[in-house]
Amino acid sequence: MSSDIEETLLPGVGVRHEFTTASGERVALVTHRTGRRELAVYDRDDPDACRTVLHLSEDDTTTLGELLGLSLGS
Amino acid sequence: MTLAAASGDAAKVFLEIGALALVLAILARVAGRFGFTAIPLYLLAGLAVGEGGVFPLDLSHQFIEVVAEIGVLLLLLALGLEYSAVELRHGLRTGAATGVFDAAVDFLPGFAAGLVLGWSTPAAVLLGGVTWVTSSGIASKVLTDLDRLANRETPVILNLLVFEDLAMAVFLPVASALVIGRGLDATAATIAVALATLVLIMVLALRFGARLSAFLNRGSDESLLLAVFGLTLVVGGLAQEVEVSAAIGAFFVGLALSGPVQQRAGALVGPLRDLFAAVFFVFFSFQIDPATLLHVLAPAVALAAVGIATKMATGWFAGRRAGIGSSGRRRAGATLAARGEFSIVIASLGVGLRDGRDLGAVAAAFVLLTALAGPIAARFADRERSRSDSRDPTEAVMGS
Repeated sequence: MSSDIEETLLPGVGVRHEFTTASGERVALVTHRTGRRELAVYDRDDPDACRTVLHLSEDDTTTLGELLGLSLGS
Repeated sequence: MTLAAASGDAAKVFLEIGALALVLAILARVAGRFGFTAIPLYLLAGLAVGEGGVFPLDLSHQFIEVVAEIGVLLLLLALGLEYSAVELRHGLRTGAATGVFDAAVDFLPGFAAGLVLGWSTPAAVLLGGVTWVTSSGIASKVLTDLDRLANRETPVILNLLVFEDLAMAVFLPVASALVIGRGLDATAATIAVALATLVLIMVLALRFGARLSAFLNRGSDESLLLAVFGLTLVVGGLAQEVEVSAAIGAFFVGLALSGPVQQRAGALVGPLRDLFAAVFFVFFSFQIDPATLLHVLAPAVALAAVGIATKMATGWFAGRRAGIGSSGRRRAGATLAARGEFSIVIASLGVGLRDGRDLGAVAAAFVLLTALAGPIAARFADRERSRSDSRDPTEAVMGS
């Protein structure tokens, strides 16, 4: 792991993992107990809030994972 | 239950309950369309069909009452099913300081209002409970709807909700003992027995929860649903027997279930809870005379304003402790502002009290107002930020 991943428990929802990208963007992945996920990018003006939230179903997560893995290999 | 005693009666009952359910279906749809909870609308529907309402229905009290009581148990069961033991311990630890602040600041307005209105102490304590507890259902819906689950203030909110829910496990039995009110010694004894039972249930739930969950998980959905439903009623009934409050028994049944069975039971119980809980909310306001409601409207509006302000203070306090900025603190407070299912459960304990009618009416109006204003305030709490963002057009697009 190249960057530190911070884990936060969200009671009744699931878990949130956060890390900072090389360009300084703070990114969070919320994993619901149901398997649904949300990928969020924090706002620079209000670091407590999110600028963009991407909703991912289990299939979406697999697709995104494959794409990321693919681009890593090429 | 003499429901189907005469076929003519049965036909009438079916028609009335069916029509009511259809109205509730429309209300739930309207609520969903505008993105708020249906609870306030259910309360209004109950008012309309109750005594002195617009369409008074002649619902068989005994039948509806049992269904409504089961609704409370299922509400609490579903709440218990939301949490795992790890989350409970974590929430209790991290939410404690905020939880104590919240208990003090949000219990006081209701309690004081009860005393000012000249009610008995038990009724005032119940109203304190009504103003204390945030609706965890509404709060989590607001967080989901406004896409704030990843926000940094969100764990603060969720941990406080865990703390409040656990605090209710102590508050409900104490409040019911006060309501029964048999003098100081007897009340103290009742509370002691209740709390001892509570500890026993909790230890059993944590100790044998995993084994019970593994055992239940082997069965089909059908047998699981029946087993969880039966277990909830049995534990609830036993808890009620020693005056712990059946609802808390149900809550611990939910807590005891963990792992895969927790998920399955949650999915199975959800629709059942929606059905029974709708009946509970309708029945609660069914018993309220709209005339009483008008009578207490002014104090209820004032109490709602104070109650929203104190939750904003809680959000501010909690957020600051967690190092959240001022926008986040405002969002946290506004998300916590809505009261709902728990407040109604608490108020329903006082139905038999001398001031029970007034208590019910104030609680209903208070929940109506905060449940509608809370989510709107939560949406609005972010406005300042987006307005300042809109100076930069690219930022505004990204932020929307």
